[in-house]
Amino acid sequence: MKVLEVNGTVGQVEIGGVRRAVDLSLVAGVKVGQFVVVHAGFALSVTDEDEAQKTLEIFAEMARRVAEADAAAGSKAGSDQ
Amino acid sequence: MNIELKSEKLSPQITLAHGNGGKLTHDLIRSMFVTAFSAEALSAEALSNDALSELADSARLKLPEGEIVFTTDSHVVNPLFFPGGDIGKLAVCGTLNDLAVMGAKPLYLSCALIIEEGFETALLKKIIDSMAEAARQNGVRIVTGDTKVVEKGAADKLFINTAGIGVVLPGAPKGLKSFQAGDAVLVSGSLGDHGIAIYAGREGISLQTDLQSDCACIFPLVEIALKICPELRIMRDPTRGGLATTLNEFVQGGRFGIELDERSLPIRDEVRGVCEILGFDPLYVANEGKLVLVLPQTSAPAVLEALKLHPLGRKAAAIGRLTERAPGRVYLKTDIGGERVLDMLVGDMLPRIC
Amino acid sequence: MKYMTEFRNFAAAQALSRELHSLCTGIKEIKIMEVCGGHTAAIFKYGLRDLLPPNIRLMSGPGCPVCVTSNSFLDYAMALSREPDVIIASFGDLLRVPGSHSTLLAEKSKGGDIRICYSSLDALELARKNPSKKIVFLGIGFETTAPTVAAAIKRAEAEGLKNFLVLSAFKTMPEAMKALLQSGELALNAFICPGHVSVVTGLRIYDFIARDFKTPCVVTGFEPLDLLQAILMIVRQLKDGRSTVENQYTRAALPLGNPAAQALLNEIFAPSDVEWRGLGVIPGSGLGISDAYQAFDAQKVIPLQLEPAREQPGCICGSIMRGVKVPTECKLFAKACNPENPKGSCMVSDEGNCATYYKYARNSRTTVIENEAGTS
Repeated sequence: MKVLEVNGTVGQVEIGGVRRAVDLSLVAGVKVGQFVVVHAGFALSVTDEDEAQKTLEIFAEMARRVAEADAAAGSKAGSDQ
Repeated sequence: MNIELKSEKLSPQITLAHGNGGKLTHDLIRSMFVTAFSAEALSAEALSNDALSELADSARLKLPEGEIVFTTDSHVVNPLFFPGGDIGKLAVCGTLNDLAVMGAKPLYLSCALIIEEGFETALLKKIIDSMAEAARQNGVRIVTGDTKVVEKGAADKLFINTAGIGVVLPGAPKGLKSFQAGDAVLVSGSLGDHGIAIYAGREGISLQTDLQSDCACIFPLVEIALKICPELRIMRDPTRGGLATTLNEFVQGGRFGIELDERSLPIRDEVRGVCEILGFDPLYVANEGKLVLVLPQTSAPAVLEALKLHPLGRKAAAIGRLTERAPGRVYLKTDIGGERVLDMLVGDMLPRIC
Repeated sequence: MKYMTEFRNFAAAQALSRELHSLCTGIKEIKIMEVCGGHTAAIFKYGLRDLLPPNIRLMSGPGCPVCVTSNSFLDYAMALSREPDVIIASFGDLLRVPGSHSTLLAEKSKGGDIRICYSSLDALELARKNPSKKIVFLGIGFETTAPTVAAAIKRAEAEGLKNFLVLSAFKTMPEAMKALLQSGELALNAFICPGHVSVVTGLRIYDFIARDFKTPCVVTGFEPLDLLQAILMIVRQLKDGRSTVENQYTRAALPLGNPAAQALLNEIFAPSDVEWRGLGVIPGSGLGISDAYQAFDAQKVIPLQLEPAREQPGCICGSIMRGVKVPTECKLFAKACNPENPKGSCMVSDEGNCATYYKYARNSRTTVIENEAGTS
């Protein structure tokens, strides 16, 4: 969830336009604009966006390889969908 | 609305005496209900409401030729006022929708109130006005009613029962037995708005959203579908238990199953967000202004296009089809290409710990 | 929704699925246990098993918080709800779990003051608003939830709130995983380790599993692509003959976890022996409230003598949780025991083994795959 406001140990976070208050005491130093993992009203960790991007790039790369392999295999394979 | 509350007659709180059938009951009915529901208060088309103004215990009604449909529904929503509506609007629209999905044009409603002693008169007036407004917008008349007041604690603020009568239009759906393999399943808009708006608004939930209940009368959409498609199989408004429960009702014990495409389901981000937080599934969340239709695949594109042109149907979507593969089952092709079975909702949805 | 929708991408899921199929061609069955209930729920919600090769068998472990809550704990909670001036504050899904004779939901309808909370902070607020009542928060869950309750106890102490109590049945994961491995009843090839627990504890708690039991461990998130990638990482370890602790959930779980949360856990709680439904008492696997904070321990402040808890006859929740049996092998499953009328607690929570089977997999293709895998 995205952090919208930080007021001491209390913050506002948002997901899909839904806002809620969360306790930030376990993620000291969190900043507005960062993403946090929330459980039972407490933020437990700050999302490492570089790591998230790295993971997503692996997925994108795999999907691209599969698409290329399918294209190379020609039209006989047809579409997955 | 242009009705003045005749406050000299009504105390700020409803008391047991307002429900005992005596003078105070009459004052309440005359100064609030009859004024709100009477002909002058209704639309410029001057729907006459003689049935009500006679103040008899029953209404005498003129009905057009043909079959009628008749339904009743009690409304106990908490909170009474929520984003996008209130219990009054809900009590009118809910019953109109039950009539509409039968392929009927709604004509008349009754209104029975159970009021907890001490309920604020001004709030009651607001709710009654809201009922009158919803009735006016949809061209129906509230023709009879009843008022009971119960002791504090015996009811939660206010319950409303409405019964409704409508007349069946040509082309009304033939029902479950007309199902055929390959029939399309359409929904008229985003799912779960009502249930989530209500839930997020409850005390102690502390979720802020701009989400509004979808509470509306869907007769206009029914009319559109009936006009375009003479072979509608079935229509329903997926209220309590949500879309998944309604679709299960369609296929239970029958020859067909329903296959849904998760990626085609219209669901607002806010609804997804609240569901992520509370661990709810939007397919089981109540709607109050949505129409689900089963119809021949060949008519689906035209009906879909027409629904989308109406303000209530802008987000209409084709979401699945009848299949012979898994009779009696509703299953979902998930975002990632897997599959899962959607059963009926069991018990209340309880927020989960993780 | 950022960091959510992207991890549910169709094309990537299909690519991961294909990679898994090609890696698993011709190898013998791999049994992987997902320990965490949140993972179990995600696997069923996305129909993830349909994307796996038939020789990968996923088994659900003891990580659904309400499923492992014992009858004796629930009996105590219900007895407390009948005490004068007590308000019970609970997570929602615990209310339907049957104890020996009743459920909290039934007690609530009989007049018990039982409130649903989303957070320990809601219970703290109840305590502030009701100074003449004792608020008992039902502390269930793992290393994820325990710090949030520890934080509430600290705050109650700081504010001088004497009417905030916790009935603790908090549990820790590594001891349960060890007990499973030592029971010898199940042949496991690998663990999918819980994401949020690891966010708090870090990764080292699983070292002994990889080292001493030669069982690969992969920590992962709750989105379907996370789970697919974790399974891929496990298969690669097994094919290479490695057993290490790997982290797929690098965006949220740090190697050393969350030190602030760990410090709170250590201060407020002390290891205790605790009963797990289905697994029995596992020494040192509980988090009891430490002596220094016993003024907040409901069992100390309101001691009650109760009859011994009664187990549900015929229920095989224990074997199901140990992964020895699947729900469909239970005589009660989908008959006497169903979500409407749950007997064992695996049927209660949305993430319980039996409830997820009932809801998503009963009579579907997934069950067929499961059975085929089980007999091959």
